[in-house]
This record gives sequence, structure tokens and C-alpha cells, in this order.
Amino acid sequence: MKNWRRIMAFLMAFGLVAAACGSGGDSSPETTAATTTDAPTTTAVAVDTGGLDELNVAYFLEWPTANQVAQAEQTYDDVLGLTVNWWPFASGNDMALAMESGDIDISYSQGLTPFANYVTSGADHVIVGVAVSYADADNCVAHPDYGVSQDNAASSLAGQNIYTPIGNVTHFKLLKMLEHLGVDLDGVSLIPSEGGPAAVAAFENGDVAMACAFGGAINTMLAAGGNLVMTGSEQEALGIRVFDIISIPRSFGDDHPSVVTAFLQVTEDANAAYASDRGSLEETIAAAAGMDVAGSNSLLDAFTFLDRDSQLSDAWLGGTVQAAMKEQMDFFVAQGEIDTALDSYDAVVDTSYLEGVR
Amino acid sequence: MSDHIPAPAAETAATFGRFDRRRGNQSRKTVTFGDASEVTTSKVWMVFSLGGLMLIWWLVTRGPEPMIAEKTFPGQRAVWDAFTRWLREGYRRGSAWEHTWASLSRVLKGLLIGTVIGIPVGFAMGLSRRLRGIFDPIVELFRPIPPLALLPLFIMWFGIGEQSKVNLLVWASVWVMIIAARAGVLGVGGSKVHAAYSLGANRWQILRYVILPNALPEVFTGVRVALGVSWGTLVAAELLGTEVGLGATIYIASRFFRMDIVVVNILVIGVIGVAMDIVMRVLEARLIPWRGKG
Repeated sequence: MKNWRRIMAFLMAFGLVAAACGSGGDSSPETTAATTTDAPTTTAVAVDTGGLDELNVAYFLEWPTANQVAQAEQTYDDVLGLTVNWWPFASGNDMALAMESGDIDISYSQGLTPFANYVTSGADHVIVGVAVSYADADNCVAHPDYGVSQDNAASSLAGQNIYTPIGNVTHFKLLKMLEHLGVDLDGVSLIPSEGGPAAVAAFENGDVAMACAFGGAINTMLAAGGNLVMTGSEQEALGIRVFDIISIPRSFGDDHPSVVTAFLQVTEDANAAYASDRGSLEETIAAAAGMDVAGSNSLLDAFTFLDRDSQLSDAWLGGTVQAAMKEQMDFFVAQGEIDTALDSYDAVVDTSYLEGVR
Repeated sequence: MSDHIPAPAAETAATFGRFDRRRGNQSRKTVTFGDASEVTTSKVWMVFSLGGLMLIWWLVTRGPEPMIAEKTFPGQRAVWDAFTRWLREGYRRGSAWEHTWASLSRVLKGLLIGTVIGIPVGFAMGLSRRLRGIFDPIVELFRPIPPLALLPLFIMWFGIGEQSKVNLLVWASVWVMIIAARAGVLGVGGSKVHAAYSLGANRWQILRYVILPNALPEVFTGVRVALGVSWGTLVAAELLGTEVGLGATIYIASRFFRMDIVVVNILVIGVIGVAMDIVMRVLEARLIPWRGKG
């Protein structure tokens, strides 16, 4: 009898643990604006949602993009005929993990590097579009006390701490820049960070000679007296392309091709509207990005939203994006961060959805 | 009904005697449920639960089409390979020993400082109405704050040096220690105190010979809990700026989706945690043999 009680106790404990695990990710997104509003029954567009009633999209806060007008005005919901949940993320790495778990269907503005990293580790995700190209919105800001410039970087950065996110495009850019400036990589400490507020805090504390980040954090650090060691265009001249992509789990595209195409169509239309009349949309974008208009605008100045034809051209998804991934991953292999890169990244770009966009 | 006939004592002893501490007939009690001194670690069940976990791990990761994909959670083989490689080559800029020692020393420093602060404060809260009034709201206000939420503040206040990480671990352990020490004092039976007074004890003697020994078991439990909380805070602490440490390794490896390295370091932390808990239990048995007998 006693043994049975022990077994029962064990099973009960096990059941409790299992139940606790099962009820994990049920929280609803913070940013779902008024999910109770009925999906409009416009007959103009008929998107085959394939039984889908919700679409979960990952995006970045403090990262103003033209399509946020459509996000705020729920154009995506209207056109797709389903509820679109926008989930804010802090890194493209987390977006990849969330897509792997099945909780995210589309990542908008995921960095190329985390994407390439994750498909290199075996994930079956594909790029379906280029979200935004930016060079000045992702950079490293040097602390004024250290007097770092392009000319003296090799000596002024030696033995210093550099605060940077790891495994993303900021990290890649930093390494390429240090290489170009002749800084001995073994002689500097790269302090892993989450970017954003942590980077600003480390910068203001003054323990780091340089802090790297993307988005609004750069403006904050520049306003605090920091200086850019290299400008975005100088880095571009070195061949460092900086852009974000739109990615999906391959299986999601296979199951719901028209949803993906419709998503890209709304994005394309929003980008076109922004291109023709940015001024009237600035406030909406800033509000959706969680920034003030001035901060949002200074980032928008650095952003280029590509239209369908440009994205499909050789300069982008026609081959350059694939080559950029190969270059970055080979670089990380050489740096010892990962063991192997894929032979080719052609298979992780799928332009069939974008080709359906008018 | 054969249920009513108790199993022969000899057979029971033979069945459990090899593993249980309860040997022979003299220590058998008719009723044992609720008697904590009868609950000793059952090694049979330890083997059973650990073996079960390994079996589940093996089952969900085996075969060419595992239930859990290799990149999501690696199999035992991959983790073993990553472990041996980690021992040989370390990870990034540190050897396995450097990573482990960096984390271990941070946890021990944080715990030590947390204990040194926490015990006097907890005792004071248990002994003085005024001090309890002063500290109670502070403790209750700050205790639930997750260490991760404090990252930007700690970076600004303490920078990204070693002290900053230790401070975060102090934060993690100090509240546990305060509450444990307070609970220890509050748990001392009033009759014992009054008995000691009536025997002529002064305040110092009450503190030294009545309250301290009676509160120690709770304090020890507090240290064990704080140790677990400290290891649990390690990744957050090492986000405060370092390339060296088990928590930093987990974070960096996860950025490159190196799940084998992540799992290896998780297991290393787990094993160190268990080892330290065993040390604490041995110390407890040596230093406070009166535990559970008051």
C-alpha cells in the first residue's frame, strides 16, 4: 500500500509540473489593438486564409517602418480578413526562436544575420522579402572620454571594452569595422548585450569605450556626447550591407501562400503611400513605433523601403542577399563563433510570394 | 483479505534495507506518515527519477525523425560530444575551468555578502518591533523585483565590472536570507525564552544560547534556497557585461543557436547546484544535529 501511495504522489507531482508547463505561452499580445472589432466583410478582396483566423507577426519596437501605418490602421486585418497580432521583440534571434516554436508566422524586419545564423543551424525558414535597408540606423558610438577616431582606433580601442549585441548584424558590422581599422580583435573585450536601454546605460556609465546598437539607442548616445567612428555610408563603401528581411517558417508559406502574398501586398502598398507622401504619415508611424516624432523621423531618414521590383532585382533577392549571408556566415566560421556554414544560401530565399504582388 | 495481514518484518527489511537507512526491527514505527525524521532519501527513487528523465530525453530525441528536433533540443550523444569538447577547448575566450570558476566565485561572493547582510537584518526584524516596522516595507517592496528588470539600473550605478554582477547576486540572495533569519527568530518557542530567563539568563545569553541555536535550522534552509536563487540569477548577472562565465556562455551560445553548448552549460550549473546542496546538507547534519528535534 505504501508503495502505491508513493507512486501516486510521484505521478501527481509530475502531473502538476506538466500542467504548469502546458499553460505557459497563453498570454495575449500587448499590442493587439481592439481585437474585438469585427473583421470587415468587404467582398473586394478574397484572401484564402486556409482556415486561419489569426496571424501572428513579430516586429521591433523603436523601429519605425512605413508599414506601421497599415499596422495602426489595421489594414492588414481588413485585407487579410483575419486578426493580425503584432508581437514586439527585442532581437531577431528571438524572432527566429518564436517562429521555430510556431507562435510567430511572419517576422517583419528580422535582421539578416540572426536569420542566416538560424538557418545555418538547421532551421527551415525562408526569406520572402526585404523589409528595410539602413546603414546609419545601426552603428557603434564611441564614448567621448576615450577619444576614438578612425585614425587612432587601433591604439585607442586596444584593451578596451566594447558593448555589443552578439550574433546579429550589429556584431557583424562591428567586427568588419574593427578589421578594417586594424584593431586587434584579441585585444578588445566584446561585452555581450541586449542593445537598446542596456547599451545606453553602459555608455552613460562610461565603462565601455564604445557601445553598439540599433534604432533609437544610437540617437540617445550621440546626444550624450558620443561620436560615430565610421558613418553608415563609409561602412557601406566597405561593402557592409545592412538590411532587414521579412521571413517565415517554410511550412507556413506552404500552407498559406495567399496569406503571405497578401501580407506582402499590404506592405508594398504602405511603402508606396509612404514614398509618395511621408509627411502626413510621420505621426502615425512614430506612435506605432513607440517614439516621439523627431526620434522616429531621424531613423526614417536613414531607412529605405524597397518596392517589389527593386527587391526582386539582382541587387537584392536576385542574388546579393544570398551572397551576403554566405559572406557573413563564412566570416563567423573564421571567427570561431560557429563550426560550419551552409554551402549555399540560395534555398532559403523564396521569391514566389513577392512575385504575386502587384 | 490479505491486505490486513502486515508483511513479515524480515521481508520488508530485506526489501528496503539495502537502500534505506531504516535497518532492523528496532527503528520500525507503527505509523510513519508525518514524522519527518522517518523521511530519509530513498536511493531507489533517486535512481528511478534520474533514470526516468534520461529515458524521456532519449525517447524524444532518438531516431532520424525525433519528436524534438535536434536544433531545438540536442540528443544525449550531441550533448556528450559538446561536453567533452567544452572540457578540452572551452568556449570562445575561456577554458571550461575559467568559465566555471568565474561563475562559481560570483555566486559564492554574492551569497556570502547576502548572508552577512541578511542574517543581522532578519534577526533585528524578529527581535525589535521598531526595526521590523522600518525594514518590513522595504523587504516586501523590493523582494519581488526580478533581477533582470534591474539590469539597466545596475549597469548605470555599478558599471559592467565584477562588482556589478556580484551586487546583482547579493540582491537575489539577501531577501531570502532576511526572511529566513526572521522566520528563524519568530519560530523560537516563547516558553524556551522564558524558561531561560527564569534560570537567570541575560539578554546576551538568550540570544546566544536560545535564539541563535533555534534559528539556525531556518537560516540554513535560507542559505540553501538562496543558493538556488543565486544560480537562477546567474544568466541575468552575467548579462551585466562579461564574456566569461557559465551564464554568459549560455547567452552567447543561444545567440548563435548553439543549443548543444547551451544544454551542456545548463547541466553543468545543475550538477554544481546539486553538489553544493549536498555539501550544505552535510554541514547541516554536522553543525546543527538538533534540527527537527526541538
